Amino acid sequence: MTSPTHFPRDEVASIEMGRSLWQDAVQRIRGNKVAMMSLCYLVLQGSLALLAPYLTRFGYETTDLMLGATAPDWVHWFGTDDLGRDMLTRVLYGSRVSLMVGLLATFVSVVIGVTYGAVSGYAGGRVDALMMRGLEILYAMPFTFFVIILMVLFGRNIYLMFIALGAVQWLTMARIVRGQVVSLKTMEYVSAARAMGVRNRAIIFRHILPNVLSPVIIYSTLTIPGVILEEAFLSFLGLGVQEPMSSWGTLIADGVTALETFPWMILYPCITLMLTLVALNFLGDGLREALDPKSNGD
Amino acid sequence: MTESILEVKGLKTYFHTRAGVVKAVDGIDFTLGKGKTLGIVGESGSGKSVSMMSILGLLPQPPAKIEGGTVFFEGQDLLTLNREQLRTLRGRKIGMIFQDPMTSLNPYLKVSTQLMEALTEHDRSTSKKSAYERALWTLEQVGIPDPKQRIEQYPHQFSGGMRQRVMIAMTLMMAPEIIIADEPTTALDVTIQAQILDILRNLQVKRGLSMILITHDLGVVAGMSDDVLVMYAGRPVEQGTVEEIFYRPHHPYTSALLRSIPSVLREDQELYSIRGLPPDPARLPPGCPFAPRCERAMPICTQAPPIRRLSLTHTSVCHLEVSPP
Repeated sequence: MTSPTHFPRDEVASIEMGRSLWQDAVQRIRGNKVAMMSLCYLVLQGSLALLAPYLTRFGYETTDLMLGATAPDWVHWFGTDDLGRDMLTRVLYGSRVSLMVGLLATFVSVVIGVTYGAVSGYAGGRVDALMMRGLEILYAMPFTFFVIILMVLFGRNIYLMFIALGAVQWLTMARIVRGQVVSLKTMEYVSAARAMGVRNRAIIFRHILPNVLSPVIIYSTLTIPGVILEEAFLSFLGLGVQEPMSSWGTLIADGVTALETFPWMILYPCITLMLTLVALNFLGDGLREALDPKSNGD
Repeated sequence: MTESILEVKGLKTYFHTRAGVVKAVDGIDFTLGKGKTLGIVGESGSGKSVSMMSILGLLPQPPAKIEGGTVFFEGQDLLTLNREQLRTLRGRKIGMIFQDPMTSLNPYLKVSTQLMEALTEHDRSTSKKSAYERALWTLEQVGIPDPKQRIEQYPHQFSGGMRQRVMIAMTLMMAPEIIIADEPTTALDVTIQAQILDILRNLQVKRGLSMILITHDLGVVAGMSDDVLVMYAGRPVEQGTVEEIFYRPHHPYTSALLRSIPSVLREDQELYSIRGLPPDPARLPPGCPFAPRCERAMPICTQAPPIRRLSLTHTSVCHLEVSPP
């Protein structure tokens, strides 16, 4: 099929082996070129961010006032900003913050959202109704303000920002998980497990959550860009990370002020941000197709 | 009479819904003899499954509520046990096989995991290795070829009949004393049905299992059971040994059911069917619930019918005095 070296005998052997739905999904996403390219890009972006200190000769905080803002050249590939800081270095360091915010805040949202949703859905009845009304109240609150208030109250702490952003993002996750759990708990294999005397906790963790995992994964990959964007927005407003640290948001905010004079200052952070968001969205789509093949073509 | 293992008396399970109280099970009694098979027959919605779920405490409460009755098993009333006590009983003492083998196995878990789970959840001290070996052995017992390979596979790699074998193996992991089979063959095609029934019958003989077989297939009941309980609209209609029910039915509903079995010998005849539809369980007619569809209904049928004891084992809930010819 995929390769000419596939002898029928091998195929039979591979059929007789246990093949989980996960393995099927991996197979499917491997065949999705766009998703694989996006994944490669994200891995590259991630390793560049991790290795930032070893990749550039400049410090992200080293200013060179004599140099000032220079257009991209062979020394400063992305140019320098008005304080003479190397833009490539700043974009690399900025990607550390932005990606970390994206991952950590999404992680926080997954942990809270999945737990809340699973408990609410599995408990059902009055508990479920109560928990869902609570969620709706939170939904109704303007969250950007909530984050801003947190930032103002507790100071501009980067870790607080992770938590705040994550705490904002878990609502939809909780709803998705709850919906899934409500339908999954009426599945016959859940009844069968209950009839077998399996404990509630084991039923949730072993029987229900693995089935919820695919929507969770899909939604997380789509949450990461949302969070990154949110962080960029907060930083743009001056509520995010503080100078001399940079994130894509602060870089873009800086760039805006110099839009007409030094356009490269906004160009490169914007391109990186955009490419990352596009890659994450393509990957998310690819994952959705791979994990939930029935939804193909919408 | 043989020793009894499960005694249900006056079991009532009501569902409290917005549309009103639905009396899904309204006072059923039966006794399951040790090593015997009890067939419970009735149309869909007659309360067969609900009564079994009530016994095992598997119904979501609310909306379900067990309003009365006793279920005696090993000297204790199951309806008085708390959740944890019931849980330890489920699977270990009483196993249940579900109707649709296509959906009763978790698609994300290997067969081995699901089999071993049944064991390790009840006995944490079981080593993984011995649980695995027991799973292998059990798969072999239910006639799955190549158990060593099959055990590492996922449910979607099994056919319907094979999955039902896995389900049976799952209930056998703990060596229960009673197996409740809720329409175990309804979702399977005829040849596979026969195989599954064979497996169940063999296991029963080999291990002295007691079995409750829920079905709407009278052929299955005739071949498998010792005793039969016929249910209609959540109530018992007639109860007796297989011979009594099939050869000397008293209740018009039982006779009507027997007449609606298609016969090869009478192929020129039109297929008999009971006229009308089963009643809405939220609005049962007064008196006998079958009266509106009954061919032998009498004015008195709007009053609660008496329980007629026709023999030591045979009872019928009907106003009719003599059994119809």
